[in-house]
Amino acid sequence: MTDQYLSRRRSKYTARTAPTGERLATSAMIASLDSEGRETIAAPFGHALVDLAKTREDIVGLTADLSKYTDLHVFAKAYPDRFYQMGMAEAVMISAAAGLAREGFTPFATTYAVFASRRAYDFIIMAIAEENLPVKIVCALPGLTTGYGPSHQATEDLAIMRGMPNLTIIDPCDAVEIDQATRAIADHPGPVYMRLLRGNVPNVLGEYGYQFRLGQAQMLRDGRDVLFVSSGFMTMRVLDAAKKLQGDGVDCGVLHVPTIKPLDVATIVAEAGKGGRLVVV
Amino acid sequence: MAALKTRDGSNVSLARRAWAIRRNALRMGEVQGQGYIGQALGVADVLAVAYFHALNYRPGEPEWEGRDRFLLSIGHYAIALYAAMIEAGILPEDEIGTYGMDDSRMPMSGMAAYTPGMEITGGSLGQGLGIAVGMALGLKRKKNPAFVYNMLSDGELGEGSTWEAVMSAVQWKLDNLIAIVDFNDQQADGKTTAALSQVPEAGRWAAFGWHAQEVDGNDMGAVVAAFDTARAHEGAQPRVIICQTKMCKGIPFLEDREITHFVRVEPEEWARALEILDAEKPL
Repeated sequence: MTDQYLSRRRSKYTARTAPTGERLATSAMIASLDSEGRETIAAPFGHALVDLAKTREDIVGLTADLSKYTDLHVFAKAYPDRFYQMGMAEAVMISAAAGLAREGFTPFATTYAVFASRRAYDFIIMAIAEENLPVKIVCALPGLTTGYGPSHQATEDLAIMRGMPNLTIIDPCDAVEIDQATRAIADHPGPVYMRLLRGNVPNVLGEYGYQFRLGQAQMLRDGRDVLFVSSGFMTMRVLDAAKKLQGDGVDCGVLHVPTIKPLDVATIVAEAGKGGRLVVV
Repeated sequence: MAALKTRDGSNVSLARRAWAIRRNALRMGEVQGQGYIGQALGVADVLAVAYFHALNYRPGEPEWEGRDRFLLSIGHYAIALYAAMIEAGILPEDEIGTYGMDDSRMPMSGMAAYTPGMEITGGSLGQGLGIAVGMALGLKRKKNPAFVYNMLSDGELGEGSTWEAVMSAVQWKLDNLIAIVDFNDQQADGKTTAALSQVPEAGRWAAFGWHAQEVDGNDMGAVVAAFDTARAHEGAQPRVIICQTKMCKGIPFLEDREITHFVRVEPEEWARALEILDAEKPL
């Protein structure tokens, strides 16, 4: 047990004692992304999908036993006959989504990011990405948003998915962007993988007058000293950091890059080339 | 033998169709020295029944909405399906010489984007039946009465994802889904029955809730009856036909080869195989 990697963790044979004073709790399946006092919006993905489905009869929803944990239950309740509970079976969920797409439907398939990217990889790449079918794979628990450890923490999903041909990858920041991006990916003719925040999701971008545009990175605030480049919910953190640093006299810009693939290299390079320090989150 | 009459009322017998499928496959095999000829010869009778007795399709309109969908999971069987689709008039016979070459519409492994009539991209085994579930659900949504057929191999039944799809098809009561398993007891490393199969195979499908039949896949009459039964069955359940076939069927010197998953055929043997076949041309 002298291995350097293993030694990072205290031995499981070392007894622990419960902490006294303030307790640091870890959330399980519900991402605790809130900053105190921030407005939240309930189930932005589910409600956007229901709204879209009013005029888009081609939209159907599938899940592998995680409708409640991906907000797809909102759609299931509104359109029970357009909802497919596929059971705890990611392979057939993804394959069936491909089959529905072949028959002219636009399937939204949901699970956790770890299960789509790891377990269903071969099915996504062969049946959907290679075939350029309009299946939208929408997955909760991005990054470190759960205390359930590596079985549920998607720390490598973006790396895994980036290898797929034709696949567009979206990593939205907040409720505002999830609502907008859901509508944008429904209109996009190809396959999409989108990371999802579910439940009561913070409204962060509302105050910036933000409008999601597929494929485009956008400056949320300008700054002379430092440029933060970030995606997903890390943009929330970066915006908070930029505000705090402002108080210390450090002028920080934030470039939000919600489309991971295709990456808006031109905007990133242009903004990074303006001088100052660069921090990529 | 009225049951053996082809669906379109043509007087060409199913035996003759199967013979032509074998002949097309041998000609393609010769182009590449391709070893999956054993599967093509074995499954030719089943494909003759599929394309000349059971399926609804329009040869010149491969994406016709009313067609029965025929999904080939097993990409390496593409040589067999091309042979059948050439005989059916979906693919042109004069492209046989392009088989497996760059820019051919008939690549070695079946892919939807390359070939008219090829509904899905196979090759990564264990995906076809799941896609078939989705297409069968989609057809029901559209109130389209077409059937979805999925041809699988016995070896492919070792893939766990196939069994996810087996369960799902029962859950959704997919009476418009017909699985066809080519059971030739050969997979890459040897006998399927020495790996993950079950004998008789139909038992476990029935246990999952499928209408299951097991037939001699080289007995034309039996295969016709099985397809008819599968289509006519009134239960709200998916159907499977396990077809026991003989690798390299129809070419005795190849049938006798010990390793037949990927058959070694010497260059001069293709002509010999064609001679044997031509000597037994059915009416």
